[in-house]
Amino acid sequence: MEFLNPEPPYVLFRDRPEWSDVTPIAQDDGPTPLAPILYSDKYKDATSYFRAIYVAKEYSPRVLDLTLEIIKQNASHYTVWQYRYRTLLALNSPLTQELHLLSKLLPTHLKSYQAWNHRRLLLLQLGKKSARGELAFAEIALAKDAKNYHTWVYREWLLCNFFAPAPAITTSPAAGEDAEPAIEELDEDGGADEEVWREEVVFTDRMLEDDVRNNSVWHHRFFVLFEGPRAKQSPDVAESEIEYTKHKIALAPNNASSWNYLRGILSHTRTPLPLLLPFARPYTLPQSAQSSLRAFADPGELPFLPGEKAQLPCVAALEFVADALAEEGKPEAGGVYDELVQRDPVRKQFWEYRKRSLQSASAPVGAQA
Amino acid sequence: MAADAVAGTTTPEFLSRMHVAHCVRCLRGLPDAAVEADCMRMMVAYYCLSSLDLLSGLDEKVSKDEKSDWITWIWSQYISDDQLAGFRGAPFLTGPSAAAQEPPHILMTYTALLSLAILRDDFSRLDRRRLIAFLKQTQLADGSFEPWLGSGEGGDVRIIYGALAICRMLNSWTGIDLQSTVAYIQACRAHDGGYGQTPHAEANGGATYCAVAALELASQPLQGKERDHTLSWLAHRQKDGFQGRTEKEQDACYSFWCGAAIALLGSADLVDRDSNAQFLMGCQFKLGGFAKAIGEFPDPLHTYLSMAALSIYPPSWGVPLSGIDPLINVRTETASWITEKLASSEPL
Repeated sequence: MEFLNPEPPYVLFRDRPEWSDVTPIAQDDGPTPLAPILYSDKYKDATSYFRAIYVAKEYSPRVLDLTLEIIKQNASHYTVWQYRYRTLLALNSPLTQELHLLSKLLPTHLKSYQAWNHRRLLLLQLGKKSARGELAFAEIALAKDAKNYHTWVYREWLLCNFFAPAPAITTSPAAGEDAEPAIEELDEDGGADEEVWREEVVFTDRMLEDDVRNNSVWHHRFFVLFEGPRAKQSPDVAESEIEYTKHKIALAPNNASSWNYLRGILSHTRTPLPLLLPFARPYTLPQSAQSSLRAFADPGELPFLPGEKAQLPCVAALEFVADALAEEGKPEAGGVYDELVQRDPVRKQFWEYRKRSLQSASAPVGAQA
Repeated sequence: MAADAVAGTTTPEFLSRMHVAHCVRCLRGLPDAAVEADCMRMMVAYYCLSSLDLLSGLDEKVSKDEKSDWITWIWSQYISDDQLAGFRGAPFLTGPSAAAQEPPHILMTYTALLSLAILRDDFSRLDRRRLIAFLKQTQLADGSFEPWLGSGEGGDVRIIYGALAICRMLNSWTGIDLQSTVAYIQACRAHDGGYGQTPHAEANGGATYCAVAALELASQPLQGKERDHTLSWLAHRQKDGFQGRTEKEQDACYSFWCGAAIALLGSADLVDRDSNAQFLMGCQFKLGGFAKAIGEFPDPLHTYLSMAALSIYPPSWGVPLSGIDPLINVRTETASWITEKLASSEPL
């Protein structure tokens, strides 16, 4: 990201008067380097000064200038990041300022593991009071790249690290004695934390409004509601999530993410697939059959029927129906796998393998779109 | 262009000579645009060397002297003190006085060992006990490994894969706590049957390969319903080539990550080889190398992984590539060399 004001022309470190006391150390790559990089002068210059301060163990404000320049050129330089972090701590630098700087840098380095790791280290120092603002920052970063892996991992880390109960409080043998005060403390903080996790669900609603095919969001929603440290194992959550997903499938039937989410819930709650056969079946029929389906449908079921523009039959629905029939041990499953061979030819061998495994005693499981 | 009689379409020519020239060029020098690889040149070198190995281009196009120079460089990245030993990625901190030294890195050690085997080094300079001690030191309480000692970074399934591949190559399992590592991998399993890079992360092809391979290396391969579910997740990633995550675009490297994981699960017959190869051939760059997608520029990682995928899944019209061991990710003959020269027959 460009700053609002144009930057002054770049000055090499060897031409900066405040560095004149330092003798740069050039890289020694030996006489026969393998895969050598034809470095720019700018990078060679900055890293030569870095080698010098690294050997001298200098932790000073100018080190922050130097390390920033190198990071801008090579955000994967993990030693430079680590040295910068140590310098910040040694100088007692205001870390919120560093966080602010990193917010400006990150949009151009979203794929840099090191940049996100640096941010995690800062947050560990700054503590929970800064963590809420970080959820907002992660959302801004996702506006730039809604599927960025590092951003989602960071968000999940924030939630687990700052808004989750301390793990394993009941496993300690002394828990009985200390149980009361511990629970009080947890409740006070826990109420606000619960709110953060509730907001997290609303956040995934927003993200899915933007792109119902963003699998990162579906994954995150599953984490929040079913797998994360504040997931509630209640049948109500599963039931309302199944309804929610049915709506999203009606919106865009050919979406592997929503079908996988649905199957994830069913598997997590040990709900048999055949329970959802009435929902899935209409999606296995051609568009020409839909008007009569709509005419005879119960009004409550209308929102879950495929839309008029849906591309049908839907492969993910065929797979769902085939697997549900297989789960019930019904031989009709074979015919549905045959149809999948026709409609999804790149997985011909896979569908034939599934059909063959019908013969074996155990029902096939865990298929997905 | 060779005619494909069956489909009536033409199959693109596999540009062997261009690929060999491209890989040799990268080993001799990378442009400034590759500066982000500065700390991991060892890995870049492995991608190029292993490509040349699959292309059988090392004896043909590289002189003995140059190969010997390359071996010298790799050994000059070997860091050993009185306790630990391993390889760094490059001498990025080192000046002529060598007052500063980079610590060894697990993934650079993994790729250095493979590269030395490709160049048929005999490993006589390697201290296996100290290398195992290095892995032991980097193991974290949660069972994962930090990439280098004192990194302050957590582990993930990529580093676990590298660490276990080293254990396999040395045939030594006494140094690490394998059960906690396996528990960490299990925690990376996602609701859809794929694996994320860390616990709670979204499933992706690279992490799923690392998890499947690591479990295989640990002699605790996926089985039963879990295996079927993961296989299904992997099979569903094929479009023509493979995508890395659900509902994302295909990318050449996932033909290897997903394809090799399917092969490790014993189901290589489920992949549509010709569709996969058609996509990869579209990623072939006319001056050599493979890009991540059609119309993009090549890089060593996508060049190697495209060829590795074609080696596992040769199309019906054939490609001039040697066979590969999908578990440690190197040509089959080179894997045999490792078993012969690197694996210890006695406990370390």
